[in-house]
Amino acid sequence: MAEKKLQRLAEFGQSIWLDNISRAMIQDGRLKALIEDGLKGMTSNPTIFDKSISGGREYDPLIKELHNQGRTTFEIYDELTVRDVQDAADMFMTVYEETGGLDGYVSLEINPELAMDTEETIKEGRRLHKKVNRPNVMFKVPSTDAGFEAISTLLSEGININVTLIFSVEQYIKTVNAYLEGMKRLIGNGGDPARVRSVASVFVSRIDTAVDKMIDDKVESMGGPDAERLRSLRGRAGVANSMVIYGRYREIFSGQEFAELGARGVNVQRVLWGSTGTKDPAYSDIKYVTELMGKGTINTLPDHTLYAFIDHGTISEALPGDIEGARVILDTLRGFGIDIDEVCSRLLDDGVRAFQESFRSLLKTIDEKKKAYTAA
Amino acid sequence: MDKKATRDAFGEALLELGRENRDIVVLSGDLEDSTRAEYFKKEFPERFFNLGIAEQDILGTAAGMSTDGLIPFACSFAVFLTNRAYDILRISICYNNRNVKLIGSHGGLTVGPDGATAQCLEDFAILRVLPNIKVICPVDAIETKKATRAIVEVDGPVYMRLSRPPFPVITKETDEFVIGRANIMREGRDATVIACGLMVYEALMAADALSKEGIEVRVINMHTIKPVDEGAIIAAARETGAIVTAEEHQINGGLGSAVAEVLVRRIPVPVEMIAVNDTFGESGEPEELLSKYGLKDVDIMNAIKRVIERKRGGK
Repeated sequence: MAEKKLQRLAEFGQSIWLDNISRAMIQDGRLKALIEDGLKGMTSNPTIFDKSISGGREYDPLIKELHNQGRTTFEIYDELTVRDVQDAADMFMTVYEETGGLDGYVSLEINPELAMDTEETIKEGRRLHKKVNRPNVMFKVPSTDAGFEAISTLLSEGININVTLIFSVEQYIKTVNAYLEGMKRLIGNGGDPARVRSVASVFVSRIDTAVDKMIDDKVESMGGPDAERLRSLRGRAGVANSMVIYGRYREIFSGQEFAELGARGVNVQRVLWGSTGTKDPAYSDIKYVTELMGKGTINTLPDHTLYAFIDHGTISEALPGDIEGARVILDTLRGFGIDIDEVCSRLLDDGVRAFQESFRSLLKTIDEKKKAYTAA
Repeated sequence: MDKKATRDAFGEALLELGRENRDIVVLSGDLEDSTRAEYFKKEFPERFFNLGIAEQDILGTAAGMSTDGLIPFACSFAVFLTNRAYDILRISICYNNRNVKLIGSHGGLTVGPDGATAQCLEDFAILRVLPNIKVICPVDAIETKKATRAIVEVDGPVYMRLSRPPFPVITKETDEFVIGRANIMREGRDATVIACGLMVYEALMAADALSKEGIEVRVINMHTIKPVDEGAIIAAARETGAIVTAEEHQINGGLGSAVAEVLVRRIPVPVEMIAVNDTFGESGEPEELLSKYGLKDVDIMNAIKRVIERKRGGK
């Protein structure tokens, strides 16, 4: 990692974050080495924590200690995740300072079981912000109808928010509006908007996984040139959708409404590409890095994608790219009966549910470890 | 509100730990009745050693015992354990990074009638500069119990300052205590008070009073003076823009200095410090002394108002 590729990419204008967290990588020097290579931040979610906690023994002593203190399973979950996030945030503190608060964040998901309850999400966001007690942490709230008001309220109180599970352009626009609304309220309350940061996490590869499956099903029952034409659209929808979103992002944050807020110190809410690990082995293992390389964005990568990029990735601007071409791809898919808006809406529901399931699985993991200690 | 001396809580926790961990031994400077190490002595006389009024010997012996895998608790008044035995503490314990727990009871002005010579107001300053050692000052009896357990988990020297009079109990059993991680006791956005020990309670009183005037103050319990929680300090500066520190210690070199060092290097904001202003104490009742030396809630309230004024003026 001598050439510091991640650092060069950051200098180009795109920050690479790691979509993973574990006590092991915090302790064994892996995270430190990546930060030295130019890694600029980190994201977590209940699925990631579930894997880390069930897969590693590093958490066991603390689980045992907290269990012996009579803590509930949720309290143990809370303590394990908050400590990892605090420790990782401390390691990113230099990045946070050197970039003037642009980068260096660690993201922690607010309990997904509350995702449909605006008031409870706000309360839990406030509690976590107080408990984590770090300037370079973002709290994740999903881009849902219940989430938008929570996003505005928490931002208006100076809490950094990573808006997650964005699939559609419509969700993206609502997310930006929730951000700007939060910033207006914060200014109205006499706060300093320059101190608050937010990112909009757009999920990419899940769209391809869903659309490709629909394409494969249709192609099977078709034939002829239409089938070929449709087949050629495999692996195109996710990036095309992202290109449209990137276009809106650039429009909004260079437009008149934002110019006024920008002059008052409001930061740009950067787009973060999430779900960017390649799922289909037919594609390049760094497809969603190469094709989403755009200035003013973040790409959060799982370990294997990150190391693959460090190994054989190159830095070459891909966005904004051909936005009209992207619209044509999405329209063509619609013509074949694959409606991207419907797909996005389904993925959002699935995404919320998947995080809830991971969260329950995570609590179950902790519960089982607890029981093992009780038995022993 | 319940009140209990942190030294009492320490005595109880030490006894519990003694039952769980056979490696724990206690060394005392003829003050075990005052430091509450006597609870341990009564149950484990074979693991208890009174070395008399000879603090240098206590620390040297403790350093030696730790080389055999024992976990020595060296217990005496803060002023003797730190000031008198400083050279041994520096060389035998810190330089050699020995697993010794130093328990300094009767810290601060609130020792009261014993007067200036017994009032340890410089322990944070002189220990903070030594490599390897951690410095802790718990806020109340509940936290003291957790801290006593936590310092046993640390492999290396730790100093914990305790106090003589009963302090208000302001934390709950379920609150977390992690060495080096400050706890937010109260939220607010206009300024932050960073305090330790008894001064956290005074800060909370000040914050409650100011809330009635529409000023909302964050109060941080910085129970670990070293390593100080830099993230919590930077977050407070960034989110509230003005800091007041409060400690039962000299104004030079203690918690206030530790906080200011972080702020000037990382994120300069106005700071006011509540501490004993470069003078020795005197004999008196704890409350009288706190008032006379400017360490009461009203003093913190005035400091908060001054620092907010500076924040606004500086913009």
